[in-house]
Amino acid sequence: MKRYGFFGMLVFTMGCGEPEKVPDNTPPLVEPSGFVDTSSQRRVRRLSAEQFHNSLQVATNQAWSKYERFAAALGRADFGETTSEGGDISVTFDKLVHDAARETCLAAVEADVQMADNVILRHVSLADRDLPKLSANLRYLFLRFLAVQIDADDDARFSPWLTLLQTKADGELSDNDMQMRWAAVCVGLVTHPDFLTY
Amino acid sequence: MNRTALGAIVIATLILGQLFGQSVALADSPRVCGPTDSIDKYRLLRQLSLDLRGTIPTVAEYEALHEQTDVSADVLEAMLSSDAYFTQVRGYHRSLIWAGLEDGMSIVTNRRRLASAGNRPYRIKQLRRRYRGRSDIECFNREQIEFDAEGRPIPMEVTVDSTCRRNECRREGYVRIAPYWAPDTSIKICAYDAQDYELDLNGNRCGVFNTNPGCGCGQDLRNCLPTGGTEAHSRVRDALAEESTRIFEATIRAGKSYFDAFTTRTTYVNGLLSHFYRYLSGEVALELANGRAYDHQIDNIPVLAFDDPAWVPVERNSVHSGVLTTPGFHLRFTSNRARTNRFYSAFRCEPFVSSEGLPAEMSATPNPNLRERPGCAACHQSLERAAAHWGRWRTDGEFGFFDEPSMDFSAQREDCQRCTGSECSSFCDSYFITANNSSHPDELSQWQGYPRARAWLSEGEAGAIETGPSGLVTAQTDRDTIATCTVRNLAQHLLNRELSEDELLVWVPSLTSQFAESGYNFQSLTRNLVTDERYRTIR
Repeated sequence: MKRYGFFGMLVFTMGCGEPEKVPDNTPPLVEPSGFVDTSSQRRVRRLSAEQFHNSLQVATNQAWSKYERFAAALGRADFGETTSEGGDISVTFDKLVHDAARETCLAAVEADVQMADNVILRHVSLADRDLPKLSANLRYLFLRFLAVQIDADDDARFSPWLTLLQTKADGELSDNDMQMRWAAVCVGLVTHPDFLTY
Repeated sequence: MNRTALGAIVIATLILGQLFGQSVALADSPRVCGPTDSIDKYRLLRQLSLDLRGTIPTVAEYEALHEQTDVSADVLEAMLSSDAYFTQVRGYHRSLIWAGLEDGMSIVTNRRRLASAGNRPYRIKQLRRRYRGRSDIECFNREQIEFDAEGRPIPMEVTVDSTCRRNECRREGYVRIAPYWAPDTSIKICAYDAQDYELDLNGNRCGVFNTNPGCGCGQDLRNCLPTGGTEAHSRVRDALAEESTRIFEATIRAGKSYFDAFTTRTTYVNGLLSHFYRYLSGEVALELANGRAYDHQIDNIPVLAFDDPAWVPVERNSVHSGVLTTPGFHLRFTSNRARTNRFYSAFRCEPFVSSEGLPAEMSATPNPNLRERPGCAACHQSLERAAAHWGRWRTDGEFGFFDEPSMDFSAQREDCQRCTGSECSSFCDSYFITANNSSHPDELSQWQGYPRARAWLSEGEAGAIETGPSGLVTAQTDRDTIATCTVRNLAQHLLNRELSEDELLVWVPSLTSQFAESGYNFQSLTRNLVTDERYRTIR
């Protein structure tokens, strides 16, 4: 908030004419009311099997070891027997995406811890618990995985993720806890609709 | 980039934008889940990267956008010239042309398929009778140690038996060979099957189609292939399927007219295909049935190691027509009608679907001319004429060209014209109108003994046989149809929806004109589509 206020004040004092931005924590508009002409727009699609596999590697820097085995179940066509790419978000797809996410995310965080790959833990270490660092890393991960750029630390979109990273029923979070929590964040991002569609 | 630096860039951008009177986008992504007028620059970059490169951008690519108002033309051009884009081009065309061969499909004749059971030696199941006298006799699972002066294996056991071929059965042992598909290994193979001689027992040249008992699989077993389901077989099969997509890629990468993909003599082979064309196909044995690849009409096939992954260009003879005469396409679509149907569906957007439906009852002797038969005529009127362009190419799971001496389309072939029942060779029954494959008096009186591809065509229409498949893309009206379909297909692919009637009437013709002006440059078409406002709005 302090930094945001500083930026807002700076913009205001420079006389650029922009109204001061106030953090907007209202939930996004999911179902706009009124008529929306969608006839000339692009339709959202699910990642193909190959796109998912490639993107998972770019996002986590890890390859899913079982991809070839399950590529057909994810929808990859062979054009001998199956002539169109599968695009359904089916139970099978969801299950396999979670399997892939768990394997690659656990490996990615482990690689960050053991070899300082800085893929998932780029702006934090397992020892960090303070909000600015957690938010900075979440901001980076949102961009890396979802192509979503968030400026404010207190943006409502961070809330559930911060809860995951900061809450424990009893006692304090250990470094081992944090390693699992960051892996869980990674899994959450890989299985997020914004990752699986475009 | 740390938070302070990012904030400074945002502010600097705002100030500069104000100073120069520009509208500058804020960095923060919008909070909208529903339909939106325009996606933000980060999502646009992601969308472009997924469509053009098949993967999401790196975080560095996203971060480079912080200082930009939008995805720049340079970024788009870099994507359009990347190898990843051409991988997508291959995949896109693979889905159009259905470039895939079924797992169970064998790509060599069963007389050249090697198989083994358990720890037993490899052998060709279908040649057991030729080699050993009876089709249930295997070689011994013992090493062959005795050979005659010419190096041919001396049988370990010979039995006189009336159930054996020429009343004699014989069994040999195995030898060890380092096969071409795994040269660092050594496999056990029955000694007869492993023979490597230039000439057979009758003095004829050994090769892929010569199954004389004096011939085997040749040097390093090069004239044979492990049976379907093995890694070596799958790799060659997949390479055959991929060949046509390599032609599309090369055409588009070179900035050539899209139509070149249907007319070019140039194809591309890697080590797998080099081996297939050199050793697993051939031009001999015109009438031998159940082969796979015969006369491929490629004179100078580059010699590549079996595992060489590089795809290199090869000039084929003038009878070839781009992707339309590749073995992968012909083995995938085994009849000329099926080849035509895929071409019309994928590249003319004109699938053959009858508008009139089938008649309630079929006549007892239906008209053999499908261009006149009720229920069939609507499609077959144009289908038969177009299918004639493949008239000189083999069908029914085979690949190969029939040159003029091999097949005369202007006269009856005597043996096929007069044969009946078992007298007819499978070659006659496959490629000619015979008493076995036709019973209609009109067809037999007019066409018996003629190539099936010639039947029911007028003299003028039969000209398509000599023109070849490239004749399907030479007339300007055909090119206009194909260009319009190409625009429509790619637009629908990128927008992930069917185009509206308005778009088909106005937008597609406009894009098609631009496509033509660019010399039918596919990259140019792609660029026009992804920079269109429709591509930037999602629902």
